[in-house]
Amino acid sequence: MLFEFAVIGGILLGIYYALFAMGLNVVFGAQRIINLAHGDIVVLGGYAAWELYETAHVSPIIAAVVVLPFAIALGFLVHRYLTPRLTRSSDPETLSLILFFGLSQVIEAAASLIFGPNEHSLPTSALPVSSLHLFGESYPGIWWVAVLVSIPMLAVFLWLLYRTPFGLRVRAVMSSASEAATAGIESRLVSGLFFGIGFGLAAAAGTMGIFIFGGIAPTDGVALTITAFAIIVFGSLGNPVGTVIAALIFGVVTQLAQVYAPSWSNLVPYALVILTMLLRPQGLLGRRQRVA
Amino acid sequence: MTVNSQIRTPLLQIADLVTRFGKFRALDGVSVEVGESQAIGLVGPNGSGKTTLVNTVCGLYPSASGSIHFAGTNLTGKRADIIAKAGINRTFQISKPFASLTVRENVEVAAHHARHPRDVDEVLEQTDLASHSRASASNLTAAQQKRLDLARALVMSPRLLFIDELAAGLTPNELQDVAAMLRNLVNDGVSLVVVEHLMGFLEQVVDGVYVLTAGQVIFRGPLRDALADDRVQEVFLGRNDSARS
Repeated sequence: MLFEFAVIGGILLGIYYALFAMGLNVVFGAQRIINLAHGDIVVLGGYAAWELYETAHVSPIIAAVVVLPFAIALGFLVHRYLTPRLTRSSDPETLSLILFFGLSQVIEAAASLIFGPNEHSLPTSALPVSSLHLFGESYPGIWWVAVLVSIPMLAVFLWLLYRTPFGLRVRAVMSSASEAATAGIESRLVSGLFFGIGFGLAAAAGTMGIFIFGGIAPTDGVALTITAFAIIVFGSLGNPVGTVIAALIFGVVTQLAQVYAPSWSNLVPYALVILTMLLRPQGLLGRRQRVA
Repeated sequence: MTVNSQIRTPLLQIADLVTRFGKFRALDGVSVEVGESQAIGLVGPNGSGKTTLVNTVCGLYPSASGSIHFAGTNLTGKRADIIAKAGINRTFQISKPFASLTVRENVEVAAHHARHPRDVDEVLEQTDLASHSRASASNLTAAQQKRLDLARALVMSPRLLFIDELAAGLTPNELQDVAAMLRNLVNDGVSLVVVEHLMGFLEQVVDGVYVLTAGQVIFRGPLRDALADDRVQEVFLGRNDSARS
């Protein structure tokens, strides 16, 4: 029964991890940079859920939707005002790591000043269900709620990317911003909006993260970024479908580790990155040349 | 007779254009004019500034000084997407199709942004890509990817088309076909600027050439005059007066 519990629980959490990591992959696709502040945006989403619940008893499910436009706007502004100098530099990849590490530290310091250094959490009574049973096993209510939030958001995101004219433009810009511009696409606007969507998905994931990770603290950002990074590298950088598959595998492996070898479970993200680099550097769905 | 003297109505006027990479002047006061329904060639050794000129006119590189007027509108410093919508389109020396899109999607996405888009199927037929329309662009051969580049430009109904080394790697028969297609475009009212090293190919397509070296125009006029010009010969063959005598 433990095995079934781990696998089903892992799939539920894996669906959430897909939402959690997707934002990082989206930002990479939009600008070919690794957003080292990704985990901090997740943390900000968590604080937003906490603030909305504590001050107005807003459900975390509603909070996931409420934070979206604000986080998208934040991402758009970051893209518009912080990244142009990167693209003009001779080494944008290295400079982007420094820039977004700096942004991460700023967010962390601001969160410490506003919310204090201690962990914040919300009671499970903030959720519509405390637990649900499946095949005789009880699963925490937040896992189901996270699935309830993650699936529609991921579905809308993938629909937007693969079934709309905007998505067609995004995929063109992700392939080659300069060629997209010469095809009449306003590359900077399109990549800015997509970059913002990456922030939005991260913040939305954060509203669930305050429960899933057992609370949030200003310093959680780095560890969360590493976990998301492991998932998108495993699934292939720049490949959203790869992120979903990798997140499901990551969820199941992490749950199996927590059930059978709990003291080792924290190593799963790091082991995943190392194994991916050694065995399949292009990731699960990657080709030799990275594509969107 | 010069290239300029053949111009009936100037469509593109580039005046004293300077493009810098740091302190290096990749374009050093280049002036070029292209008329309506005229095809000109851009010729010069590697590093002479041909592609830099194309990239600057198309808005991918910023100019340091000089001006670019197109159909009476000042396009100097405008964004690449605005220039594309204005009717200046191009192919790339090294084609980079949108790899995650199908061949058809590659053309459709450009059609979405054209002021007067052509029919996508018609353009795919014209560029001999109709049978590959559902294939991923990343699976095309290099020659097919160049044709896809051309299809993406053609679907936008260009008034001026930059063709950057489209003929490289083509067989003699394919060269004939491409040359005929480009001449048909000119007959249909499209102006062409063709960057090319193959003089035989250029001879079939263009009305005259500009020869660039070290970011400067050293010759403008008919191709056969260019081939007989001392400065041009020196640039291409390293020939000097003492060697000739």
